[in-house]
This record gives sequence, C-alpha cells and structure tokens, in this order.
Amino acid sequence: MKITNVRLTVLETDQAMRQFELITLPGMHRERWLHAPDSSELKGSDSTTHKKHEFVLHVDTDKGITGHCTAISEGVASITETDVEQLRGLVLGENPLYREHLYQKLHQGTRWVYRVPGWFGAFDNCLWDIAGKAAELPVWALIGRVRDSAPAYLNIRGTTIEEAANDAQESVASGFTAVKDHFYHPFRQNIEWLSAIRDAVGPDIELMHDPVAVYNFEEALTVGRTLQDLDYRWFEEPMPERSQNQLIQLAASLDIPIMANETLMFDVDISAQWLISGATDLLRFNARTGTTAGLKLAHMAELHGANIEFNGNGGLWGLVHAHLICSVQNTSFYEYFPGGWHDEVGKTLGMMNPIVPVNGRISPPDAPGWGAEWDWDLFKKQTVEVWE
Amino acid sequence: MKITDVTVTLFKWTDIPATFYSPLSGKIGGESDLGLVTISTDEGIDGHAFLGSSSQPASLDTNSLIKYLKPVLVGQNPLDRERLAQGLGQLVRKSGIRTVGACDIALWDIGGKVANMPIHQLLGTYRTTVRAYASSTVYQQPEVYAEEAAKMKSEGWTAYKIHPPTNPELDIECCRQIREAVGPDHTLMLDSTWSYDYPQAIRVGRAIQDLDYYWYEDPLADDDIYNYTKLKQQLHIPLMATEYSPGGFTAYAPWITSQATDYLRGDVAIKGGITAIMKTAHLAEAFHMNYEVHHGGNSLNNVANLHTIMAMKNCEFFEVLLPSGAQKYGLLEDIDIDADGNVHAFNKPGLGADIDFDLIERNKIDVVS
Repeated sequence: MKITNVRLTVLETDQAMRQFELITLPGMHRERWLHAPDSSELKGSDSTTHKKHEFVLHVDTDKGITGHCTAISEGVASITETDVEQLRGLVLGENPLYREHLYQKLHQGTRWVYRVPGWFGAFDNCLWDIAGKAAELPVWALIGRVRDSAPAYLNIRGTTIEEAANDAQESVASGFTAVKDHFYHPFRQNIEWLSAIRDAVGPDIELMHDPVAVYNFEEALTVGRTLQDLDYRWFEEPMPERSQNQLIQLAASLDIPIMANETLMFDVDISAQWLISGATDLLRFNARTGTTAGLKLAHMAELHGANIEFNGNGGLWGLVHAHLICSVQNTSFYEYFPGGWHDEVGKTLGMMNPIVPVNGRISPPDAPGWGAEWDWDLFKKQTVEVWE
Repeated sequence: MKITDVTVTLFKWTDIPATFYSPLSGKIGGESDLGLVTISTDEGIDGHAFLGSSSQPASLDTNSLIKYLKPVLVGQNPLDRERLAQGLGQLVRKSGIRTVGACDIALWDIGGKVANMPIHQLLGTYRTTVRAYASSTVYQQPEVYAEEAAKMKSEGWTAYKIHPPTNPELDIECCRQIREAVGPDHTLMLDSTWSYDYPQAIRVGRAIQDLDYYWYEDPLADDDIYNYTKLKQQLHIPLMATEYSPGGFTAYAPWITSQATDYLRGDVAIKGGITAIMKTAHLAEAFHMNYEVHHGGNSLNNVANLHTIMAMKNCEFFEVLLPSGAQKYGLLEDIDIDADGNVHAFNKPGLGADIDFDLIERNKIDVVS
C-alpha cells in the first residue's frame, strides 16, 4: 500500500470564534493573568465575527482506502497549508502501514523541518484509521481492547457557587459518577467552592480539581490539603508546569495524586523525566499529538505503576479517545465537556456519531478504523477550503 | 468472536546435540519436548505458539497452562488482548512466565490472522530487515571460539557473541583470541551469564572494552542492581542487564532510575509475550535506551521476537543462538540469515510461519486440554 495524497479540509462551524479577555486575579500571592471566567464561554453566533473553523486531515492510498482525522482546532493551535505541504512531501509514496517507521521519521525529523512537537499527530491518527480499514477491524481491536466501555467525568460550569453545585448535582443525576471543575477564583474562594461541590454530590462521587495552574506553591499546598480532606481524586495542573522543583516538593507534601504535565504532554521523553523526578504522579495525554506516541507514553507509565489520563476528546469529536481509553489499561476516565463544542458540533460538519456519554459512560464504535460515520454531502456543504 | 478451546499438543524433540550455554542452564542434549499451544475460536481461526525449549521441556509447563490460564481465555474475545494480558499476567506466580508468554503470542497470532496482516504490521511496521548475531555455546578452548567466529564471519555474519567458560582469566583470553581472529571491524559481544563477582566483572570489563567489544552482558548476578550501578560507573563499554531481572517486565523501572544498565533486555518467552516486549521497548525508548531482544528458546518464539523487532526502532540485532540443532525445530522454514548477515520479516498473516504439523503429528506424545 502507498500513500498517494495528504489533503486537508477546512470546515466552517456555525459558532463564533472564541475571544478572551485577560484579567488579573485578586487575592493571590503573585500576579496571575488569566482569562475572565465569563469570556471562557463561547460568545453566541454573530454574523460579524469570524466563524470557528475545524480542520480534517485525509490520507489517501493507492488501495482506495482513505484515513480521516480531525487536526488541531482553530484557536487551540494552528495548522497551515505549508504544514500540510511539508507533510505531503515527506510521506508521499510511503507505506501507511509502516506506522513506526513514519513515527520515527517525523518525530525525529520535527527539529529538522522546524515544526512544533507532535505536529504530525493527525497524520498518525489517519494511519491508524487506514490500518483499521485495511484489517476491517476497529482501532481498539488493532491495539487489543482492555474494556468495552469506560466512565466519563463531566466538567461542571457555573458563574456562582450555587450554579456550580447545582451543575454537579445534575450531572450526577444524569448518570455521571465523576465530575471535574475548572475553578480559578482567588484561592481561598476556590476552597469554599470545592467544599460546596463535595457537599452537593455526597461522598461517593469522584471529584477532580483543575485550577489551570493559577496557584503558587503555598496556595497549591493549602488547596491540596483541602482536597485531601474532601477526598478528591486528583489535583490537576496546580502550578505552572515548568516549576519542576516546586512540583516535586508539592507531590512529596501531598497524598492526593498530582497531574502536572498538561502543557508538556506532547513529549513522551519529557513526561518520563517528570514522572521519575517525582514532579507528577499522573500523566496527561491528548491524542492530537498522535496515537502512536500516546501508546508509548501509556506503556512507559504502566511500567512505572502510573496512570495516564486523557485530555479532552482527542480527535474526531471523541472517537479517538474512546478507542484509546478502552485499549489502555492504566487510565480511568473519558473527559467530557458538556455543551456540544467537543462532540456534537461534529454532526453539523458531517461526522454523525460523535462520542456523547450515555449514563455517564462512553464506548468506541465497532466499525473499521475509528468508526466515524460521515455524511459527505453535509461535509462538503460546510467546506470552505481544501488544501490538496 | 470467542475463544472456544485451548489445547497443548506435546511432541518429542530427539537428537538434540550436546550443548552447554552456562552453569545456570546446565547441560543440554538428547531429548526434550515442545508443546504446540492452540487457541481456537468460534470463527475457525486458530492461534499458535510453541511452549518449551531444548533445555526446558514443555511437559513441565503444560498442566499449569491448562489448569490456570485456560479458564482466563475460554469464552473471551481474543481481540481483547490487553484485558487478557492483564488477566494472564496476574497468574504468573501460579503458572509461570513461559506459559503466559505462549498464550499472549497465540492471541497476537489470532489478531494478525483476523486482520489479515503479519503481526509486525498490526503493531505498525518499522522495518523488514535487521542485523543478526551468532551467539556461541560454551567451549573451553579459546582457539575453538576464534575458529568459529572467523568461519561465521566468512559465511556472512557481521556479529558474534560469546558465552564464555566463565573463568575470568580464561574468558579474557578467549575474547582476545576471537578479536585477533576476526580483525578490528567485526562486532563482538560478551555474555558472561551472571558468573562474576564485582572485582571479576571489573577485570573482564576493562579487558574487553580495550578489545573494543560492543556490549558486556550479564556479568553479575541477575538481581545485583547495586553492583551493576557501581560497575557502570567504572566502565565505558555498554552494560546489558535485565534478561532475568527479578519481578519481570513490570519491575524494569528501578534499573533505569538507578542507571544500572545501558539496555533493557528480554524476549517473548521469559517476559510474557509480545505485549510485554512492546511495552518494555516503549519504556526503554522514552529514556533513549535500546531494548535488545533475547533469543526465544524455540523456533516459533523466535518468529514472535522477530515481529516485535520489526515494529520497534530501538533494537539493533536479532540473536541466533547456536547450534541450530538445539534451537530450531518444528517449522517448515525457519529464520535464516541472508548473504549480508541480516534476517527478514515474516510477512504472512499472524506469526506467518509454516508450522510442521506432520512432524508434530509423527512425534506426538499427548494432547492436553
């Protein structure tokens, strides 16, 4: 089999591009810039603002099989036409089933084509789609499944403590056994909110806290002790992740598992060093930097007795992570963002079976490859540009 | 898809030449038996593996495989490999690691056949050719090694590893004479089979790094992580441990964090199958280390090893343990080197090796189920 083309389709969603305001947080020991809580919500559809684009990569072969995967979403990072041209130049004529060869070439070659780490992740995911279609097997069967389905946690929202607690309660009522917050209020206020969530859901629900690195060491220690008393499951991105020494101190001072490598998770080797240094207990991963790299990270972590926890939907509006979470032993949850931005939006662009938790659980489809069901007419209708 | 049965067909292996690899493996020769492990499914696809070796008859392991591991497998989806690997792995202390490895290999064989792909392709191919090295038996005379190494070099082999007599002074002399016989450019390795204490290991290590040996394998006891760490600080020749490190493949991490070895090592038979090898290779890769795959002890294990090597970057060689008569048995076509000293991938679905079912039938001892 040979790769005959690498194409990218730019699709237009019906949603306005996110615009953030940055503010400083009062009541903290250090100045912390972050986006204002209400600006994290998507602004409504507005014909004068730029509509958010989604990118889908396609890898064609001489056997008539094409692999598809979403590439990085606009606003999260960018992929350019010259990136696609560079990629095409490197892989045309290669056998798409030589995934490890192509991984090594592109991973080691990243430095030499002046790209960012993991820039070829969507391409790697397309190769897994091709392999599954060639084998007529779902990706979970190529890897070797460990579970049929997995629990999801819901990211709660709310602009007041009551709204947040209420959202947590409603999530539990709809079947979720785990919820996570993104509270980045002043840290003493955060502690009140965290207690309110535990009170709202009772002792049996798994809770995680993700302050998106707003604390300094002392604040993180104080909040971490509260989380331990409240029986939270993990403490995510407590401090800016480059503070390796302080993270080692923090992880040694707290019993609650720390998950610290979100902005470094594109790199298996750095994550390995963070893990053995004791700067993180859990490893974060998002398959937008490629399934092949993710499995390497998972295996490295497993042999250190550590979990990796998948961040967001991973591609194809949840399909990629659904397959991986059911094939990687040392992981526990699918991360679900309500509101449709990470999953149901796929249906408006022609991918008709995004992953939406049912009763708080997800499972991957059994169709070959990633198992995406495409409505190509709709896909074409939403297409604004094709790079081929 | 469901697993319907697991059987082991025991078959005799006779006329094994008298062979000696190390004091720990003891004298080999005469008779042994292998077991053809068959995992059957409701879709008519069978997965296979060989259990046993010339030194470790399969008959010693067969009953535990059937008693402990078969119940984990029957009724399950054979494509749920990771779940089954976890289940099998938890029974290592009862059933033994070789039986776990055999079951895992047979599951990958099924996976490849279902996908209509060789296992290396299911894993994601890295290459289809790899360098081989010949791995000697033990001789007492340095000149015998020297002659063998030179002869193999003339036959196209590019690398030769010795299993020495394990007497440090004699071992050094063997290494010296071999280097003289093959010249400065031939790749040579020493595998001292866990035989030295620390001072001996230093002495031999310094001698062979001066002789430009490529790696120094298992000089110290398999669990001596403390002295391996010291030894590594004293030598610049790459040190290779962990073939039989205690705790199996899930206990490799301290060897890395203690900086006790330059490579990780193992094979499908002694670490728990293809699943274990690939995980370990990825662990090693994250630390920019090689995972050098050890020979598998029987022909089909070696084919399984070969598939893993074809799907990983960080392994440089395929090991061919000598003599053929004590290692190759039960396949119609075994792995052979080409004129350049390389071996090639098997490309038919699954393991892709043609098992000699007629030979197995002729030499059948029993079918255990």
